[in-house]
Amino acid sequence: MTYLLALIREGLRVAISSRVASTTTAFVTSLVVMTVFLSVGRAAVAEQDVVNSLEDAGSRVITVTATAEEFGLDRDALDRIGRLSGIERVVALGSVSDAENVWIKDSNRIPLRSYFGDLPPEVSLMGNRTPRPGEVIIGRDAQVSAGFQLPVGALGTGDTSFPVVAGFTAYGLLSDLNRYALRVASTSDGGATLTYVVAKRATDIPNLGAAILSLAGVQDQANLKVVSPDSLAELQHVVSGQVGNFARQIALATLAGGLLFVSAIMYANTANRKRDFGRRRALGASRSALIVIVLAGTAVPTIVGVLLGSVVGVATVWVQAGTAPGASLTVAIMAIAVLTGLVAAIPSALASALRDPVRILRVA
Amino acid sequence: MIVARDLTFRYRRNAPNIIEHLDHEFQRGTMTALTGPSGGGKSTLLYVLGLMLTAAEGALLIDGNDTLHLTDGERSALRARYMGFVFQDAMLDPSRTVLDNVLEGALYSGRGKSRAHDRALELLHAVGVVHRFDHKPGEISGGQAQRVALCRALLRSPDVILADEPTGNLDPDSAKLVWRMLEQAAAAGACVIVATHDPVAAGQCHQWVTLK
Repeated sequence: MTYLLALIREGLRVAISSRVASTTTAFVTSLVVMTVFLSVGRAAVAEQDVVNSLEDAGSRVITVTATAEEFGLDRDALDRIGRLSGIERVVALGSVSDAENVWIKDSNRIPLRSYFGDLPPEVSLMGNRTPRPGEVIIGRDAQVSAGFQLPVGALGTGDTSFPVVAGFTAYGLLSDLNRYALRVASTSDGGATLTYVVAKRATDIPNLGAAILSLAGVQDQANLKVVSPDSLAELQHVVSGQVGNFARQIALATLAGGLLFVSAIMYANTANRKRDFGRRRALGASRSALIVIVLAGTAVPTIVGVLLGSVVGVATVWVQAGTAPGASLTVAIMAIAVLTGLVAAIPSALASALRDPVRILRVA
Repeated sequence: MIVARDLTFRYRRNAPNIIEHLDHEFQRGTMTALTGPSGGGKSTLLYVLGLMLTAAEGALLIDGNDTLHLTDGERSALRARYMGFVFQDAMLDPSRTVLDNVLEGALYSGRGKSRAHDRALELLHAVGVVHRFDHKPGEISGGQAQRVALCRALLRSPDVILADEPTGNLDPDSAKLVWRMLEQAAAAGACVIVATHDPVAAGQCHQWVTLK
């Protein structure tokens, strides 16, 4: 191990002393990595945008609707569905009733629903006032529709009124909730009549509809309607795949070009250093020791180039697309680029190791 | 120490023999001169004895062990641990300092350079180049460079020292110093083998192998 470390250190020294080759290798590698980031990174961002748009349109959401409160999903059924493999979370709402702003005569009526469990992460409360049982929070659109200047006041449903304590804005795939007022479901409420089941992946959607129906625990399933966005999920899968494939092809072509270029640089560099390798062989370096030295000597400028190219590439994608490629993608590109640099050095490492040292020493 | 038995070498299968049926015992504590005309195979024999070339026929024993069937790794390890090379051209790494060049002699033996540091300075002092330890080879004279190369070969106090025309390019003072260092190594028990076409230098050796 100590000997291996000594050889790696020797490789680092070789890299430092071979300034032209090391600088050129680092420069080419950084260009390759930048290009890969600009193609794959931007494609990944574009792919994520498509996925986000399709998810906003509901590609991961199965909607379960009950025809009446007595046929709705009870808390046990919601719990069973929530624990189903492939389910991220369940957002359940009770039956809807019309409500109006009690302070404005003949105000527009807005839909009021109870909700089960915690508020989903897509719902952002304004005012940090978490509603208690019997209290209401009002959606952005519903607030305007009912004539509230601020999300405080009261909503009435015939003979019952509920205090409005906060407003909310719902985002993404639950943005439809903005037109509702919501109140915490009490034990006297019936089952959930509108349930959004959010899958972990769009690709899971086709298998989940039947499973949800079987776990619903409803006697007559004719009273329960399950709407599954199969075609939207399929579209998301296809679009993601196509964008990804295109970017991968560009990245592969760039890496292959970079590999050839670095390979040529390294070969020229080792060809110029025949005497160096002949001397090392005479001093006791085995062929494998020379290979380690050449690979370690290539790894240094490659890693420097990868780091430099990654910083510039990620920053450029950030500036152009407004968001950076994900951490796992960034690490993957960096690892592949380092590996490519090392693969590029293999021919020159083998050539150095297999050259006849005596011929080199005798012509020196 | 090194025994050549009926040793024959040629560069290719159908090429003429460069070394033919050589029998000789290279003993510890002696200096052996390899002499003969240019192209006679002096340097070739040196590289065969240094395990950098493999004989076509015969046997080459080091401390009683045949070396002809060793792998490249085994031959390299023997070279790194037991042998020191001095070339006609100093063959220093121009990008490293004088001290680093000497320390390279310890790199492939797996013992680590740090332990050899004091010994390297001691040797540089002995050959009068210690004041240039942090200079690059391009900043010292040819004679000094050859002395540095000798230090590199002697760093691990090798059992075998193989020198290819070590004084061929040197001024008389440097040549004398290099020769004295080789004699001291032999006196300390090393087996010193020198390829030379200089009859005066050969005359100072204990044994001679003449190649035709």
